[in-house]
Amino acid sequence: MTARTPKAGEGPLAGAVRALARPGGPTRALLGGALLAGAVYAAFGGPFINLIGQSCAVFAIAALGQSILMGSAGQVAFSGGAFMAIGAFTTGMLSGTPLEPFPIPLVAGALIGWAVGLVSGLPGLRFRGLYLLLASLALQFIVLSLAHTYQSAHHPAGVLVPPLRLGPLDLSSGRALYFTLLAVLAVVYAAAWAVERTGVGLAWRALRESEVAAAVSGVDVTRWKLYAFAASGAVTAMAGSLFAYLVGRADYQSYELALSISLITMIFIGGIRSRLGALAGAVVITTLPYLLQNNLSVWLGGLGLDAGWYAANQSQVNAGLFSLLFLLVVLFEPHGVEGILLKAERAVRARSRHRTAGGAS
Amino acid sequence: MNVIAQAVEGSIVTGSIYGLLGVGFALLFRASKVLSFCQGGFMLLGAFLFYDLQEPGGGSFAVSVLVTVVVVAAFSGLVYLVVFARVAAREAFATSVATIGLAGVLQAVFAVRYGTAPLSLPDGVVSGEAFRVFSAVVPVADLIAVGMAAAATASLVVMLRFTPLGQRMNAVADNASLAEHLGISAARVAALAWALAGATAALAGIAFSLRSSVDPVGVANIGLFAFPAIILGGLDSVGGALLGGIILGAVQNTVQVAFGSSWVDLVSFLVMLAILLVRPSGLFGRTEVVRL
Repeated sequence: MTARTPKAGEGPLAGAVRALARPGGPTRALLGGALLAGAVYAAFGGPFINLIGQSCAVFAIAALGQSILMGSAGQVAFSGGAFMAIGAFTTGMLSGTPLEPFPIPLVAGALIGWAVGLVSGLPGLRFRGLYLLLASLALQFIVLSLAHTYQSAHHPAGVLVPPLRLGPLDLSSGRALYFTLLAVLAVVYAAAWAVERTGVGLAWRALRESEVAAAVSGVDVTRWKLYAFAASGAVTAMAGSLFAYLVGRADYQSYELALSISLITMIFIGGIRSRLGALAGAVVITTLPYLLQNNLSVWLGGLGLDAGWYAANQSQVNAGLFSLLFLLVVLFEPHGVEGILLKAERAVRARSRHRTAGGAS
Repeated sequence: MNVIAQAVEGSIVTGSIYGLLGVGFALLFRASKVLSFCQGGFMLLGAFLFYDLQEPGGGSFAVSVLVTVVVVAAFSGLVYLVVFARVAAREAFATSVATIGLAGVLQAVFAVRYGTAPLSLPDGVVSGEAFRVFSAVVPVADLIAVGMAAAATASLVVMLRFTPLGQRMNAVADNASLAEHLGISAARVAALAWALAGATAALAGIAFSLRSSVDPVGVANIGLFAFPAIILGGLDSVGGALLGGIILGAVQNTVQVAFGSSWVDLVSFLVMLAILLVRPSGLFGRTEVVRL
């Protein structure tokens, strides 16, 4: 950490070079650069690209929320979809009330997500691992069942959400919406980054490595674990609220277990321990269906295969592919893209070190 | 009176199907400390394989059941050996998380192959006759479901208690590394447990398809809705799984009659959450749950 503070008389450029030279620096630069390039491309691309960019931004927020729990504090949970549903349904239920103006539903969703997250962490105080996983599964089904019951009683076609407006500004579509979502993402990312650098982040990392060791060295395990659940719930619920604005309604079918699984896939595929990895995973998983939709039939046709079955069963095939990806990543490459890049970086370093050593002798 | 008797009958039958899935979960958990989220996927495989074998002009009932059970068991054991075995030995938790991916793959394969619309077995697979027991109507299909659950659970319990193989499985469940030192191959025991769990899941699939129409999403979900049952019975108790299933069936039927079907999932999982909070070892499980 001390390496990051620039030495006296050192310019910002030299500081950047030093940051790049640290282990993991090139990997971070590559991932961050690619993400930034993608964000700019989506901003100035056509309306369709813009639309994909909007979903990417929303799911990046959700993935960040989940990575607070799973990456930072090391607790795996199947309840991401439930927390997004909480944000979305809060937003939907507030529409038509005096609390409808924009930031209020978002904040309300975050607060309820925080509270439910806190409660969902309670089983985690007695144990971690499998039992916690099961408790999160139960939470997922309970929230979805409540949402389903509410929706079919009052709004069979989904709870309508008004277009996104901030005061007189219309932010409901196109670039305006995209930049709004990016702004929220940036704020959340900065907050997560800042929290990680304080004692809270340290406490979470200690929890992840060993709860016993953390308790012995004076970390209040109960408290920080609950806060990890709460913070994760709040951020994921914010993503749910924004997703409801994006699609114009809250429908329980969007938030089923499949969504929780794709959120976990995002953070595993990007790299479970890193925030940039979570963003990268969100972008990959969100854009992949569009890419497949546009290209897979062409590729299959090029190979002389009949692509009709893919077109007919697109959503099922995609779900199957994602599940397969999830399975393989969790089992065989649990540090995802970031892990692969880090490995490559280490190999290059070892090689160049070897070469310098050989040249010197 | 009639309604109550019928509800009791329904509870026992649904409970048996949950129980058939549940004994598989318990076997797997004992053998490899892996909690499988893809029992529903194997149940799906069993249900649709049986459906194919029973198409008009298909084989006899007994042969179809036997073929289905053997194929699903072999598939399940093979999947463990090929996909999970290497990682499961080191990281049971990651493997448990990964099994949900396998469930998704199986569900997608069946959705593409058979479509998402519910399919029913042709008439006359089992006799449409029904008996009256204490003023409840009991069709033959229900008798078969309960019979399969009882037979499977009883034979597993007997096997675990009295055969050398069962003793080896108990040894691995008790302390895997000690068992390894005594010359038992934990990997082989785990593969066998996966095969047996596949077999019970296949039976659950058959029992389910005899009573109602099958569709990929619905059947795969039953694999997840069985979790309250196994938590009730205790994760590592084979007999407890069946009893947990029947209790869950009773709770679900009561809720359905009293409040309507939209509350069934909610109450089931609230019960599960409550048990996780108050008594995570369930009714019959061992109380060794704090995993550090």
